[in-house]
Amino acid sequence: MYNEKKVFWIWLSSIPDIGARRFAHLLRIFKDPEIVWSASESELLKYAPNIGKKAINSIISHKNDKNLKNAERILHRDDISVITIIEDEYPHLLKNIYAPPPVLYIKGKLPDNELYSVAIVGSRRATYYGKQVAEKLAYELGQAGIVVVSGLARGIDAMAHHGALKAGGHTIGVLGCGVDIVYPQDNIKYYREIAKRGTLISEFPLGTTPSAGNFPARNRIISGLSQVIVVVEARQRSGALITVDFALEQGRDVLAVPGNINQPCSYGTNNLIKEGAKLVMNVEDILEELPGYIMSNLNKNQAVQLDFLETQVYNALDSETKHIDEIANITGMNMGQLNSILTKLEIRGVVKRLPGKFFVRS
Amino acid sequence: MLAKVKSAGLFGIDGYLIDVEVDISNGLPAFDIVGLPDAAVKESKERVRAAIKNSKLEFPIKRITVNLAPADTKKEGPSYDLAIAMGILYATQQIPFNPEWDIVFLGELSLDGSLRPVTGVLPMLIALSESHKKFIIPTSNTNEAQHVQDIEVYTANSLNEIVTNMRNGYSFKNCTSSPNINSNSYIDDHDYDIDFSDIRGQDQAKRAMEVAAAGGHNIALIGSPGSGKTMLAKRLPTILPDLTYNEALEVTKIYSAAGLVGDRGLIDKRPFRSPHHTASRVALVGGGRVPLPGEISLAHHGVLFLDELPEFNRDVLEVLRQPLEDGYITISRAYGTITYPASFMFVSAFNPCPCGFFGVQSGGRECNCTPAQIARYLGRISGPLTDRIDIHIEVPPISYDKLKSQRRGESSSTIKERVDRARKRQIERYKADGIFYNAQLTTRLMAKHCILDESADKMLEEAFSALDLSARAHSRILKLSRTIADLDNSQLIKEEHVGEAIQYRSLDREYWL
Repeated sequence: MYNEKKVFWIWLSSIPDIGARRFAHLLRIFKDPEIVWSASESELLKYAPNIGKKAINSIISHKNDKNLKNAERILHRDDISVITIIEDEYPHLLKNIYAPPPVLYIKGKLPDNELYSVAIVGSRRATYYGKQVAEKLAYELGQAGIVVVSGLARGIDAMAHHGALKAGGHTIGVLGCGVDIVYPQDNIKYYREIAKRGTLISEFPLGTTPSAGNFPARNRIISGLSQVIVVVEARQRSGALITVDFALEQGRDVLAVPGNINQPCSYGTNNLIKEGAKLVMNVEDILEELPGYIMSNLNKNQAVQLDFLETQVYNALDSETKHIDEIANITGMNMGQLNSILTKLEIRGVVKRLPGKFFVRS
Repeated sequence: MLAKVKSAGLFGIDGYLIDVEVDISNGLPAFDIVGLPDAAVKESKERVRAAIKNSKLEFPIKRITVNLAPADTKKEGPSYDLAIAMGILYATQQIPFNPEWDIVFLGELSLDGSLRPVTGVLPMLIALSESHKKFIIPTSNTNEAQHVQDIEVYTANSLNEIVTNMRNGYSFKNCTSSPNINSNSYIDDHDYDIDFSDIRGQDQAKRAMEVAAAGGHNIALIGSPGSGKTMLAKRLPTILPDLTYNEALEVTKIYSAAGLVGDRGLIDKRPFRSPHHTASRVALVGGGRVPLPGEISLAHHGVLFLDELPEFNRDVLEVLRQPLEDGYITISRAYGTITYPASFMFVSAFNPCPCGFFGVQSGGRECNCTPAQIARYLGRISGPLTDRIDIHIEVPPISYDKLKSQRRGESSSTIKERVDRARKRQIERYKADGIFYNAQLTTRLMAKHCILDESADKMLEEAFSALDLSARAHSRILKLSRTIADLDNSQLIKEEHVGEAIQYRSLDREYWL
């Protein structure tokens, strides 16, 4: 998208009274933020009365060239990119939630849209156990090539990012402040590392300081960016549980790590399990929820992703032992191709060959 | 009175010229043959005497000495009968001698004077065709004689017929045709009465056979009784490339020396030999007092199929090692040291365990062999021998309802087309290297011709650590990948080629033993 157009997106989304829902409403009526800019107060009142008088006043009062210049300056910054909801780069998963942010400010590089992502969230005041689990799970997910999403807060969030980075995986930190603000300060090393090797995302205009009201909004982006949400530790009234609510609303799977019943930090997670959330004991429990991910048997801690043909062969095996001729019949592949795919699956420990040239999932 | 007549002898599968000198002098009537004759040659006296008498010719009541030169090589067999008889007839001037006719005589005489076929006519004619142009042979040997070029071959049914023709001014009729060796037209029909489409199912085994045929790889079929191992093996020759003219000639020479040509003439189909597991060492590699070609030589340019491999005596199997490597077998006996060609595809079949049902996953039959029994059973096949087998393929039994429902597979001719194409690539590639197909690749040539692309290289490396392959599998996998790449018309060996090749190495897997 041309920068000339984008400045109006930035301008409109930066107006304090225009949230994601009002923005979407205006977009539906006027099709383009530029038209909103050029609309008069009476036109706004006439065509978009539902957004309310206060918001319309706010639009009119923010209609000055200084704000537009400011937006232009942002677009010229090398370290920050701005992506609007109508662009292809916009994360597909996020686009389909209720009230998706119209504009995302990004530091770093967005991961491939095809990659799976898992959110790891939890208490800021976590126990050693919780931190350890968060780091381990994130590390293993990172190794499996799965994007780890979290909120760059203290405690569980920080350890999740740490684990993913340690594994050399991609991680996304979703901020409740402007993407140029480091909060909390003690996470500065993760902030820098993620900006370099992962993605920092915020829907808030640059310079927005963290305020309590921003965090629930941020949480909806965390769950919106992920297929699966894993709660590692949560107190009775933890912010992580807000993320869970969003996740359920967005149709995401929620998994929880169990803990000591006497430990307040595990109250929220144990409670989630009681209510039916899937219990997580190891990374396989998470991977099982991601279609196309199969655990390698050889290397217990490693998941492999299968391509289309490999998945076909793998599915043909279900859990029964099958002879190679049967597999060929089911998949319709020729023998040469099938032999080579089976070797690949064998090497990765996904299938096992038995005497007689029978194969079975391992 | 002295007469000199020419005949030919056979050493291995090579003929050589023999001068038959007959001297008739006055003295006590006697008939002696000298020049290291064996029993069959000595008995020739009685046949020659009776044949001459019964052909209404005169047998001289004088002292007859026959020398078979060169006198230091042992002569055996009845094929000099005709030459000896002709010598006597020349010496007694019963037939006119024509110096323009330098004839080589081959044939065994019957007491009534008729000519009986002899073995080794083809190799003898080929060996002598450089120096001698005229041959008289028994009519029954016409078929194999027809295919030798640049010579005149005359056939006769009896001694009398020869004598009559000579008295009539040597009016013989040439029986050779001149085949067109530049095309394949010497083969009348490619038809076998068996075909790969006869086999239902077993797709992976068929594919393995195709790969084996395309690269000339030795193959082992492992499966329970009744799974179709023999059926598969028997159909291998139907997808092998046609014999070239020279190969056919070579094969026919061996069969001629063994007296097995019959009325087939040139043997233009790849031979398929399947000796029983009670076969002795000599039966397999050749031998005897006068060494004859064994099964491995009769399978030259074709297929040697050993069913129930572990049932063969171990020392019988061990003698296969050298010919498998070299493509020929050298047999030393008192009679002499003979080298027979023996370049064949080695196909073997065996059960996975003594009861035959190891690894069977369905059908209610279960293997009840102990691991020790299985190890002992397979241990009968020595490591060095399995080392020479490139492809191991497991053939599962097929249940009756599957047999009914399975579609018919490809026909032999379709598979053969692909094999032919792959072989052509190999011949082209190895022009300068003196080999013809991938199975013959040496370590040095492999480094030159088996070039893996990056992902294939990585896969091979991973496979070795992940699948517990033994180190000796490495070069076999390389060769096989080369063949699979050739079937795929690819110069470079890619990941999928290596991947397939690895699946053909069952016996290298640790689960097996």
